[in-house]
Amino acid sequence: MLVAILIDTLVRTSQLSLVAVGLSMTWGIVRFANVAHVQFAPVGAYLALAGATGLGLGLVVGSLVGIVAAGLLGVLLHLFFFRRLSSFSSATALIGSLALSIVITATIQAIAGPRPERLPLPSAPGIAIGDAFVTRAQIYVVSMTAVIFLALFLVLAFTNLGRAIRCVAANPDLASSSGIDVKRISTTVVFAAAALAATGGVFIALDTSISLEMGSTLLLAVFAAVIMGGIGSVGGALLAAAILALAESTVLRVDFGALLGSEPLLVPISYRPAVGFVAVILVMLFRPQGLFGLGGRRA
Amino acid sequence: MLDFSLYVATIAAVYALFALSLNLQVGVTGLLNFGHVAFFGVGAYASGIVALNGGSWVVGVLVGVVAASLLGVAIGALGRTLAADYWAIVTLAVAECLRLIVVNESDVTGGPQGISGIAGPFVGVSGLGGDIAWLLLCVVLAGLAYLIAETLTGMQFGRVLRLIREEPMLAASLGHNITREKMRVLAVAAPIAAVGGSVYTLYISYIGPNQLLPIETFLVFTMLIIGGMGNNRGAVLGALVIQLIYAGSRFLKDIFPIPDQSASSIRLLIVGLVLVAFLMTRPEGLFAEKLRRIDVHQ
Repeated sequence: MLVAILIDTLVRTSQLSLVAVGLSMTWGIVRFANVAHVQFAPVGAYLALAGATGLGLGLVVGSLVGIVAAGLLGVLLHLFFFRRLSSFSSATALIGSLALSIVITATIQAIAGPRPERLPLPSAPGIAIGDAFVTRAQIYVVSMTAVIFLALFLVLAFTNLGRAIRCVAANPDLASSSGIDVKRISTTVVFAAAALAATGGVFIALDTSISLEMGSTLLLAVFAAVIMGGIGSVGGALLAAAILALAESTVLRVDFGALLGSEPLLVPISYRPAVGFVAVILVMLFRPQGLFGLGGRRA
Repeated sequence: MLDFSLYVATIAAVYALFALSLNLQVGVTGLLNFGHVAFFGVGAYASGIVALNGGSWVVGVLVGVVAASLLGVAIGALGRTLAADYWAIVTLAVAECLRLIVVNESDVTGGPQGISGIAGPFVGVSGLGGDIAWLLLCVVLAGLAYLIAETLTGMQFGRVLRLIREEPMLAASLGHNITREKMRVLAVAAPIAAVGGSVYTLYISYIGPNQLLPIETFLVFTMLIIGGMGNNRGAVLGALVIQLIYAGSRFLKDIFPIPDQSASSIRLLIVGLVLVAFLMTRPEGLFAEKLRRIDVHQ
């Protein structure tokens, strides 16, 4: 059972953290809670599907094309939609992002139809580890996420681009007066954020399927991860995603009845999303500055 | 066609209740409630569950009003430490928790199938008479809600709320207890939406968890943006416009060849695009809020 929990947690961490890290990085720059960010997951997955089967590019190239296209869409929306709205007020931008997620969902539904789709994954036998079972797709997902986060960390820590990104996130005015092109850096970050979320969407699709609800079911868990990890912190988002994923996979398996010495009492599987919802509420109430005190905007 | 028009008008009046309630929160006080549908749900399910257990509809409405008011006070208390966009996310989480409970606790709520066959006040009156009675009831309720909202926003309470929206620090330094004022406005606004939820449930004699999706909250936000944030007349107008778009889009498929399965997504797409257009070009809405300007420097 422990192995099963570990596999569950690793896969879920990969999916959550990729979506969460982008939101965390852009929040510091756009300064409002972009509810539409999670929608890049289904957008990326559907674009990958279109690239892989529609254009016949195959799974890998098709997914890459889909991810880049999602990133470009993110940049366009940032330049022509969110920048204008946040110049009115952050509340307007927040409502605008809500409107945008509805438009995205409705557009996908109108084009692709309401039924869940699958990426054309060649079927390969899974691997049994003890009493647990891991699929090839899950191994790819977890290892590629590890590579992505390593690359992200190296870029942010050791390159000029990374230093500029961290400057802009911390203090845009100071960054601008130090000769950093804030507009260009912001655009880069927005592209990366949307592309990372799209990658998360593709990874979810590889593990399960592509559905319309992908974005909305991620929403609260992703926000919980971002705020728990501290806004703007890449490592925090990853760690918080891992904590949430672990909570999701253990809460459903722990027999609370046995712990209390009474009849078996398991939390029904259908309550799985509640872990994210409850986590959001608890984190906001007790640690709005993030679990690790790594910033966050206000108490 | 006549009964369809009556139906459209009745639902528009119910929407006006939701819009007026949300306007008190978002428009007047600046409280971004992304879980507004929870208040609707509490009213709706109070009516449904009471009816399921053989209670009268009057009891259902009263239970809904009290429960929604308590929920409003509770989530208002959460606003003590949270900034606006954080609070928005929390309210969304609360509403989603509520929906998840409703889906899972089938013994009480009917689960995913919902509760049907709920008896309302006009059981004996059938046909056109019943439809007209319903319309009159809903219009009267919407009118009452409008009067309540206008009175509240016109008195000192409303001025304090607008001050909290514009200058929370100043409001606090003038001695206003911001959390208490937020709790008070939610205690009043929530029951208005709950009555809307009850009436809606009794009118169509059905309630299911799919009516508690976050999309419903989004619809009410759209009404406010179209009508004009902070303006009660705007809220009513917005409710009417959205209902007309919704009703009108039914006839869209008579003109364009739209498959049935994408009809609902096309409808949402239209509403979403209307909202985006308003946000981009006229964020103050059709009826802008009229604020009295006093220039202290002159």
